[in-house]
Amino acid sequence: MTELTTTLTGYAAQARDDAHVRDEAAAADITQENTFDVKGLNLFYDKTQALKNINMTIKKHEITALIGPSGCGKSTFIKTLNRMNDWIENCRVTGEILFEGRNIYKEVDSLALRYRVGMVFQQPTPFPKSVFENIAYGPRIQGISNKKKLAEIVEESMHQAAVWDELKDRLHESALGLSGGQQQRLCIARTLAARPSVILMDEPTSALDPISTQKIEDLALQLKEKYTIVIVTHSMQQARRISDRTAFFLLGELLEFNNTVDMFTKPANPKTEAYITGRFG
Amino acid sequence: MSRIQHKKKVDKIMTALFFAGTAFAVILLVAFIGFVIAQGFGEMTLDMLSFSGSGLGNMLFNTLYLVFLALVFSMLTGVPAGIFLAEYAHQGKVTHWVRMAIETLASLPSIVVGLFGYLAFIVMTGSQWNLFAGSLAVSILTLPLVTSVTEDALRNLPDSYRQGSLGLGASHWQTIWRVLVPACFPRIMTGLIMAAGRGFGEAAALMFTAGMSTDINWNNWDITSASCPLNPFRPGETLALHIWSLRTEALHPNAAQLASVSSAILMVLVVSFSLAARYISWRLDKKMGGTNS
Amino acid sequence: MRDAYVESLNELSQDMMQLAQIVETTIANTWTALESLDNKLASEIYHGNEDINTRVRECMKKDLTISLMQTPVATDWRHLMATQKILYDIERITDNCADICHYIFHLNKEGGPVTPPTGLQEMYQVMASMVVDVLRLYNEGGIDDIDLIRDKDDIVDMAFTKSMEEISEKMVKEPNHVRQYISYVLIVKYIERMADHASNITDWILYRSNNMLK
Repeated sequence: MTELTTTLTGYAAQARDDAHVRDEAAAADITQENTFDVKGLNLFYDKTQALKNINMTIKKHEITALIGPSGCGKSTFIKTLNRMNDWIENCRVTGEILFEGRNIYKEVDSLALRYRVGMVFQQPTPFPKSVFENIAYGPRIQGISNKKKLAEIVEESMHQAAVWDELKDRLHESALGLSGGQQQRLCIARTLAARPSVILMDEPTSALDPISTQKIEDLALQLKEKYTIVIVTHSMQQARRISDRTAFFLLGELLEFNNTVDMFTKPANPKTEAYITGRFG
Repeated sequence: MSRIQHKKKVDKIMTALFFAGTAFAVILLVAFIGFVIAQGFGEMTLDMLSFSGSGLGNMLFNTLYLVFLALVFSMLTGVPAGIFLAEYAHQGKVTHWVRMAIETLASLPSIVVGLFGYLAFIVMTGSQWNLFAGSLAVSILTLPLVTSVTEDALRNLPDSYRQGSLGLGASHWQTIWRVLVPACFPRIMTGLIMAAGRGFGEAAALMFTAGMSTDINWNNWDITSASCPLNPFRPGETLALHIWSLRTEALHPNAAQLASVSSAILMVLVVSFSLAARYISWRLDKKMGGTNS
Repeated sequence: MRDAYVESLNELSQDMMQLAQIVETTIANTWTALESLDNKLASEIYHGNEDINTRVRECMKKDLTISLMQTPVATDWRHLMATQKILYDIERITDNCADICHYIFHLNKEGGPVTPPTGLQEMYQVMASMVVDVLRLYNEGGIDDIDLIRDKDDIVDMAFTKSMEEISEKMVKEPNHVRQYISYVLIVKYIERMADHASNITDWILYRSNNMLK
C-alpha cells in the first residue's frame, strides 16, 4: 500500500515537472514570436513628456513602420528600443520594454542590447575608414580579431546587404568616397555584421534618390526573412510599400497600430485618417 | 551709374584689395626666406656644418631632439586633455575654469615659462640645465594649442560617427579610440606641426632650461653618460638659442656669418618639416576621404 | 492642407451629382417612351446616350487622375475605387435605356400593337426607384435602406420570370405577333439587367462605407 502511494506520488511529481517544462516552453514560444513587448512606456525630456503610455508588440520577422508628423515621438520611440536615448541628458523612461522577453532597462546590458538591436540612421554614417574596416567594426568591438573570420563576416554581411557585387573590388577604398545609396547599404551591411536580430531604421531613405530608395526597400523586404525590422518613415507610400504593420504616432501617443493594409484602407481613428489622407491640421 | 554697375565696380575693387593683401604676404614671405637662405648659404663653409666643437651639426641635432621630446610631451598631455574637454567634460563651472586656465597658459610670455621651467625643473630638482627640462618648458607653451586643436577637431566631427559607433554597441571609449581620434588625426597632426614650429623657434624658454652649451661625443652611446647624444639629461643648445647667443655675446671672429648660416639651416628645417608633415596629413586625409578612387 | 486634392475630389462629386440627375431623367423618359411607344422621344434618348457616355468617361478620367496624382488612401481611396466601379454600372444602365429605345423602334415598325406583359410598369418603376435610391445613397453617403434596395432586386427578378411565362403563352396564342413579343422579351431582360447594375452599385456603396467586399 505504502509502495503504491510512493509510486503514485512519484508519478504526480513527474507530471507536475512535465507540465512545468511545457509551460516554460510555451512561454518561450510566446516571447519568440514577439521581438519587443512595450508596456506602458513613458519618456520625459526634463519635464516635457515625449512618449505617453505606449503599448505595442513588435512581431518577429515583420516590418513595422512608424509614421506620424514631425515631433510626434516616433524617432524618440525607435531610439528607446536600443537605448540610444541613454546619452541624452535628463531623459527619463518609465514603463517597460521587453526584448525577447527580457526587460531592456533591467535584465539586458545596454551594449549587449545594441549588438542584438542594430540601427541605421537617417544620414548614412560611414566612418572615415575603408569599406572593409567599416563593416568589420562591429565584430571588432565585440572582440573578434581573427582576420579570416572577419573577412568571412564582412563578405557575408555585404552579400546580405546586396553591396558585395558593387563593392567587392573597392574593399580597401574609403567608405566616404561611395555614393549616398551605397553608403547607406554599407551601413546596413555594417549593422548586419554585428549579428543583430533586429534592425531599427530611422528614416533610412530620406537623404537618398528614388533608385537608391528602391534598393533599400527591396533590401528591407529581403532582410525580413531573417530579421525583425522597425522603420521610421516620413513617406506614407514607403510604409505602404514595405511594412506589415503600421503604427501612427501623434503628440507622443500611439493613436493606432494595425496591419498596414487595414490601416491604409480603413483606419479606425479619424485622426489617423486625417493624417494619412493629408488633411491634417 | 546704375546700381548694378556700381555693385560690380565695388566688387572688383574689393577683389583687387584682397588679392593685393594676399600677394603682399606671399611676396614678403618668399623674399624673407630667400634673403635668409641666400645670405646664410652664401657664407657657409663646410666645416661650419661639422658635428664637432663649434660646428652647427650638434645644434641641429639638439634642435630636432628637443622638438621630438617636446612633441611627445605635448601629445601625452594635450591630446588627452582635448579629448576630455570634448567628450567627457560636462558644460559647467569646472570646465569653464579649466578652459580659461588653458587659454591663459597660451598667452604667457615664453620668458616667464622659461623662468618657471628653470625654477621647477632645474632648481627644484637640483639638476643641470638639460634637454628634458627644455622640452618640458616648450611643451607647456604648446599644450594649449594641442589641447584646443584636439578639442575642436573632435567637436567638429559629424555626430554621425559617434551615433554610428554607439549604435553598434561600442562603448564611449571604443568610439573615441577607434573612430573619433583616427578621424581627426590629420587635424591633430596639424596642431602638432604648429606646436613643433614653436619648438624650433623658441629661445627664451630654453635659455634657462636647456642651457647654452653643448658637449657631445658622437662615439659615446652610453645613454647615462653626459656626453651621449641621446641622453636627454644633458645640456643642449638649440639653433635658435645659438643664433641669439652668437648675435649678442659671442666672441667668435665669424659670429655674424655663423648666425646667418644657422638662420638659414633653421629656416630650411622649419619649412621642410612643415611641408613633410602637411604632405603626410594630406595623404591621410585623402585615404580617409576616399577622393583617390 | 492639400487644397488642390480636396478641390479635385469636390469637382468629381459635382460631376457625379449632375450625372445622377441625367440618369434619373433618362430612366423616367425611357418609361414615357416605352409606355406611349413614342418614336421621337425614344430617338432623343437613343442619341442622347452618347453624351452620357462622354460624361461617364470624363468622370472616370478624373477619378483615375486623382488616384494617380494623389495616391489616395483610406476613405478617399475607397470612395474613388467605388466611384470607378459605379461609373461602369451607370454606363451600362444608360446603355440599357438606349437598347430599350432601340426596341421601341422595332415595336413600332413591326405593325399592330400588342398588349405589353402585365406588371411591366410596376417592374420598371421598382427598377427605376432602385437606380434613383442607389445614386442618392452614393451622392449623399450612408448605407440606410441598402437592404431594401437589395430586396427590390429580388422583386424585379420575380417579375422577370413571370413576364417570361406570360410572353411565351402569348406567343403560342398569337403567332403572328411573335416578333413584337420577342422585342418585349428583350426589353424585360434589359430592365432586369438595370436592376442588377443598381444592385451592384449597392455592393460598392457598402465597400466604400465599411471596407467590405462581398
